[in-house]
Amino acid sequence: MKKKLTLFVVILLTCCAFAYAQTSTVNGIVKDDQGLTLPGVTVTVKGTSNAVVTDVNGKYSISVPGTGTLVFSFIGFTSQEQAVNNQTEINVSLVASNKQLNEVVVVGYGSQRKKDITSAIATVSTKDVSARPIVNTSEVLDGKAAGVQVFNASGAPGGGNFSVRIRGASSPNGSEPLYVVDGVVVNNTQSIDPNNIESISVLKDASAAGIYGSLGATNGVVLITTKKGVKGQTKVEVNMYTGKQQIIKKLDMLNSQQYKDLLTDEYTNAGQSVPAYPANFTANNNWQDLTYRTANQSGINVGLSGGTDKGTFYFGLGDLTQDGIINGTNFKRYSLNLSLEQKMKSWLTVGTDIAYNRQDGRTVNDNNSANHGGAVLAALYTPPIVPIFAASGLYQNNIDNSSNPLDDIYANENHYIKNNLLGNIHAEITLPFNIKYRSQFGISLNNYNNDAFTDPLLDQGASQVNGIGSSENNETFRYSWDNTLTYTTTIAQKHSITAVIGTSAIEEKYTDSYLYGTGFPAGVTTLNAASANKSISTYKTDWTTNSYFGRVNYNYADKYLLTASIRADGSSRAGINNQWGYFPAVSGAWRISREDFLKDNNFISDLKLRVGWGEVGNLPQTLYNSYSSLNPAAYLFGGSSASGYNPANPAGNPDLKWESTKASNIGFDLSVLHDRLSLSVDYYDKKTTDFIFPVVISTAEGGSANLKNTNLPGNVSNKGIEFSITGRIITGSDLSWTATLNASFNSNKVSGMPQITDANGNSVDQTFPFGGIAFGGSGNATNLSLVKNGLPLGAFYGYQYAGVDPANGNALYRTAAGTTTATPESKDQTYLGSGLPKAVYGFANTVTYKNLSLDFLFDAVTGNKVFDATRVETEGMYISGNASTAVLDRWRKPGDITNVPAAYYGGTNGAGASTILPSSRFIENGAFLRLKSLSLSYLIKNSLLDKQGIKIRVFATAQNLFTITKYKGYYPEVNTFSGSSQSGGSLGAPSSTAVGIDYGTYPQTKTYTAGLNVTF
Amino acid sequence: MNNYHKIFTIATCFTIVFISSCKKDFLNKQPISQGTAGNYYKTAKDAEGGLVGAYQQAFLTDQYWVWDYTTNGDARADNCFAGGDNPDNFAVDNFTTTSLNGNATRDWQGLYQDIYAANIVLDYVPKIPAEQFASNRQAEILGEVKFIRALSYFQLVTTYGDVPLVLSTINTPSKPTRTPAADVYAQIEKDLLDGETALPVSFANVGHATKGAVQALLAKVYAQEGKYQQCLDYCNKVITSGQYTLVPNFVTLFNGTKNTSESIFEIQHSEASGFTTYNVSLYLPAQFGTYSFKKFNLPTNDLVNLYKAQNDNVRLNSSIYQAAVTPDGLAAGDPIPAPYTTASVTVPFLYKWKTNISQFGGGTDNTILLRLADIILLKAEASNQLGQTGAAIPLVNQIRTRVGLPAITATSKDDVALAILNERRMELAFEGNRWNDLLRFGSQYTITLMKAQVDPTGKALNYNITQSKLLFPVPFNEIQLDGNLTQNPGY
Repeated sequence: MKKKLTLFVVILLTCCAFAYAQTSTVNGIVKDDQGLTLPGVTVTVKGTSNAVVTDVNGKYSISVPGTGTLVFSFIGFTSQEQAVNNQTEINVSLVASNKQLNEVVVVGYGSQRKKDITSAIATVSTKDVSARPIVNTSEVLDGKAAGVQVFNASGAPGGGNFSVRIRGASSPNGSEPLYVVDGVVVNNTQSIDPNNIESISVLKDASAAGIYGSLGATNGVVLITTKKGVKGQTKVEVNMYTGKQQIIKKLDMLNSQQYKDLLTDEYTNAGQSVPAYPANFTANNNWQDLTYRTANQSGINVGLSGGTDKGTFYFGLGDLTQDGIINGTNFKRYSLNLSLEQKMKSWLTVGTDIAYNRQDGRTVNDNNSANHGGAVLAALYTPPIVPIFAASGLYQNNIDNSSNPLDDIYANENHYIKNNLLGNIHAEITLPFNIKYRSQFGISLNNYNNDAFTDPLLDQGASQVNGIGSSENNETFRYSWDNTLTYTTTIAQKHSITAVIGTSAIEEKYTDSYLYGTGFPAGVTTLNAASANKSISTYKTDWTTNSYFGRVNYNYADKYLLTASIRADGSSRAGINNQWGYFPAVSGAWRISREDFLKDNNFISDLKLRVGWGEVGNLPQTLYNSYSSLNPAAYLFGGSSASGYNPANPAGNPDLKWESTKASNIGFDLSVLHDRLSLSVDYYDKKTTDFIFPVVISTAEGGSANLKNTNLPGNVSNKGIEFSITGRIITGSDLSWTATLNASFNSNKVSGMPQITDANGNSVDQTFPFGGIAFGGSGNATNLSLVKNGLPLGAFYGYQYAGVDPANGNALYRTAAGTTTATPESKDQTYLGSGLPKAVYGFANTVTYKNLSLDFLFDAVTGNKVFDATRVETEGMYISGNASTAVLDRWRKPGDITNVPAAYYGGTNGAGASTILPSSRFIENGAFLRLKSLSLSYLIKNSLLDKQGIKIRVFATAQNLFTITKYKGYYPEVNTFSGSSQSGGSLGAPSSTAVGIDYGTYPQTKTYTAGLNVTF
Repeated sequence: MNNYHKIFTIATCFTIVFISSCKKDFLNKQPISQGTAGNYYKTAKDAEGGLVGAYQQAFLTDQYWVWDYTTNGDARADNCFAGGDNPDNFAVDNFTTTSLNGNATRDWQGLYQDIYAANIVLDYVPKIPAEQFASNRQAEILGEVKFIRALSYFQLVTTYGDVPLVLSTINTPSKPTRTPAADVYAQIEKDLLDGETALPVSFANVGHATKGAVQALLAKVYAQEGKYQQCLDYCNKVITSGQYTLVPNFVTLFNGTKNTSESIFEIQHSEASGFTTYNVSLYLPAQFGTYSFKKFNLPTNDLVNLYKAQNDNVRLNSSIYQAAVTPDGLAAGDPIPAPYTTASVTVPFLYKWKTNISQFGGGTDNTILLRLADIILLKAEASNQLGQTGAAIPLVNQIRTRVGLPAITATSKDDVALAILNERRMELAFEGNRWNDLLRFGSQYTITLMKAQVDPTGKALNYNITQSKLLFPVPFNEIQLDGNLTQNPGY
């Protein structure tokens, strides 16, 4: 103890630069192999505790005996020793060590050196994306990790509707990974400013994710580490940029005359008279031009960091302003981050990470038909002849009374405010026997407010009720408490053991209130002023989990590695008869390159074989599964209302358990030619069983509580292979080029769904439809996707389009028997493709030439289809809205050979033949290859800046510069069922059963930015 | 630091780690914003709440007692045409129902939902300590829900034949099978006998099922089973209870007056939100403030002609609204529902429920399910069937006298039986009784009668009715969910 204290004082004194001379002083500068100065390098007099740290300019000064030796050490570089030999100036250039292998990777409840990892873990550092404006967390991962598909489902500002799919879609109840930020399990990533992320580890296989048990680890775990201070490196970093966003393409719609011709055809063919156009329908508006704009985007982030041996700090500020390409939409985020780590005693370290941000924005309705106020479809649907305003001064409605897009945009004030706070306080205590105790208390608070008002002076519907207002407020609060004991030891210098045991508890509380009213006095839009139809509703939920876990890492001579873990999870969300689940995982690795037979070869620098197996779970998405619900009831006795309760859905299922995934992984890591080329290959096989579906039982058995969440015997399997190849292709001192190519191939299949009886008394597989779209604003949704044995999860299911009957213009469909018919039956429906890609690729490059650096990233997906449901509206020719120019090829008279059927108002001709059935006619190839980002940056170098330790980098970036695709809609990376990050709470995640459906989704953007990065 | 200290420190930390999440009940979370069946039903007040739920489910939520009981009881018989434009209703009227029929499906589902709501009360209320209840209230509550359960099973067994007999929400067998109709009847009788013991003759707050209600229902159940002696006994119990008298003027029953002296059980409605009903919206033309569409359950010309032939203007005008047809359509403002056409002089509309406060769902009149006139005529039927024809005739005449009609002239048992059937038809039209009345008269009689039905122009309707069509099919949807359910013959 006394010795430690002495050392502590010595370090303290040296840090404070109170080094006092004994014999002579040596000065010098430490640089890296590229000639850049290195701050924070520890310079020690060998065999003593005398040490200093280089300053921001890489300079040091140390007192040393004339015959001593200096040791220069720095993480990530090979230590170097220099004999003093009475020199007074010693400048060194440190060589980067095998960075990749010694890189410390965050794993669940701890960290490991990359070389010790036995499972499939991908890591991404924000250094890889530093020159790009990053709006949301998913962009950090995009294209960077094999087996990880990042999917930005819309171009709405703020970009909250993203989906991250690790090794395919594992469950019909959500395929999003579990997010853990600085050790705190969170329900989404909106609390953190992505510019504040230091690194991300993706635990892809169950042997790595098993330590998170049933918390949703079936879909992998994304561990996010935020920026921290580094001891001895006081640093200020400022990053700012500004840019423009544009719509990638617009769709070609009919002009006024073509539109009128179409309507004449539609009504005439349907045997109806063509409606007279209102007298003021004489405009010639291009509604897409009126809807979309070139939108500004700018951001600034400031990071202040530093530290001493006693503690480190990081302080970050961020400001992002992003206008949307649809008029009226915008997004703002102000963020503040703080990270502190302090060594209070030799045995006690405490720290905190706090992230706060406030977001506000204005949205428009999308993913909805024009009849339901969807602005994107209204911009296509509204014919050019419709004037913007009616004579009344209100926005003009369409013939069928749907709104024009400017009404959707300007008459509907839809504002949200979100306040997000994520923080933790942790303490680490060093105990005897190499045991460390760590306790971390985390909180996460997401506050959401949405105020909507439809202006009675602008909107026809609202004018009849003097305005429609609503206000929703909700809060999701979660706390977690994690405690771990970590024991490390090395026995006989060859057996290294690290063991962790711990507990974790989470409680989440959600509260929501919704207010609604109409009848507003002029000029007031808040609900205190509503005078009619007032309604209120409040709602609360909560849930808890409690877990115990343990893990042992065993390492024999850096050659044989074994990791085994187990987690026991109890959750209030599981049925009370199945509250506890146990999730074991085991993995091993053999570093073949450490064997004697490979030790002396010059070709292979590292070769490791990894094998793993594990089991993880996915808790039910519904919360109170054991309990049968009651709904309020009332009846009149004696003429006055008596209140009570009635049984309601869902019925309780106390036996409900989590969905369970068993997964195995085998892979290897290979580095050759002194790490010039490295390769990782993984094969995985995972199967999710005990699907949770809301199953309906017979009414005799269940009454009005006949819907029960039930584990079904079905399963979904994902099998695939992943490659990641990194080449340091050119490593010259002036010119260098590093490229990483990753590719992953996945096959997804549902099987084992139970049998039910069909209408003919035959036994058939039970199926569950999803992806319901209410076409044309009808009340009834048509389901586009299906969970069915033998097909990928959420496969498109419908009719096979077989062209047009030249005789009568009917749309023809393929029957099960192989013939064609205009009136197919439901048994003729078939598999039409899947929205899940078969392959995902990323190709990242960094080329530097002197001070110039070029980064470019390609990404691609193949094998996926998109159901372009927008085209049902723009090419269905069954409604009074406008259509795309594709319908100019429609059938018009007997003998016409075309692929576009005749126009029929209502979509069916007299004989019941439908022209708008969900069919392969509207399904397109969703594959694309795009230049996701291209960034050129230049490091301004001059002696003055160097002297002050100032680095200035200017950059210009283009995102989505080009995309090669056959997709006919706005953009193939699209999903109407993407959930919404805007409503708080854990639920509302992107759908995994309705993927790749495009129905009036906010289009993606092309972005150009220029910026400046200053570090000193 | 000695070893003792080290071990103590580590033990402390282990303790912290494992105590950290061991809070009692940490994992036991129950819905905050919603009641749960397991938690509810702990006090006498909860028991009353469950009872309210059972009444609401059966008499406000379920469509059955809004209009399906009339569709099945009168449109399937010769009192009404389906009207409207709903293929499912046409099928019920025309005997072309399939197992996919929406009415057949929702009636089954609705009635079983009613039974479930009753069963949940029967499951939990007996577990509440008896001392929590005032005097006999716990038994009364059980008696009331048994009335609802028996009423629902009575509808099921007469409509579908054998049906699953489910008597609990907790210990229900998975995928129950159909129980023979005789066993279902036995359970109905048992529930009603239990109710008779438990229930008082009246409640301070009208609306509850009383001793008279279970006795009246029991009389109807016995009659349907052909147990006429028990039927007669129970009719007498109702009639001699002193609780019920015929209202002097028939019109009083159907002019919005609620809970008259003749009423034994009626569904309570009012202007308050949630307590209106939509039978008026479905039946009466737009001039009564309903939406304009083809209205349902149009009285047949055959029924109108019966009233007219008997000079029964009181009951005709109180039960049927005759709208004039103009060259353009209907003076009342609606399109004309088939089989009436512009050639018809008038189109009759179902007019027993009249008060209406909004275009849809604005009916505020109570719905009478059991009334004394029904029981008096049932007593006449039972007496006649038991050979006491002489005792039956004055009962029929008692009902006729009220509406100013002369005494019947029939004297033989068979003629009197027919006179009773006709009297019930005129008295109880649209109250859901006709189909069961016909079946008691004989299934062959019913088939022959229905085959003879004609449209307003006198053209034969040629209903394809057979013995098997006297029962509804078991809904396909339910067979799909419960593979143990068998289908009725002929479907």
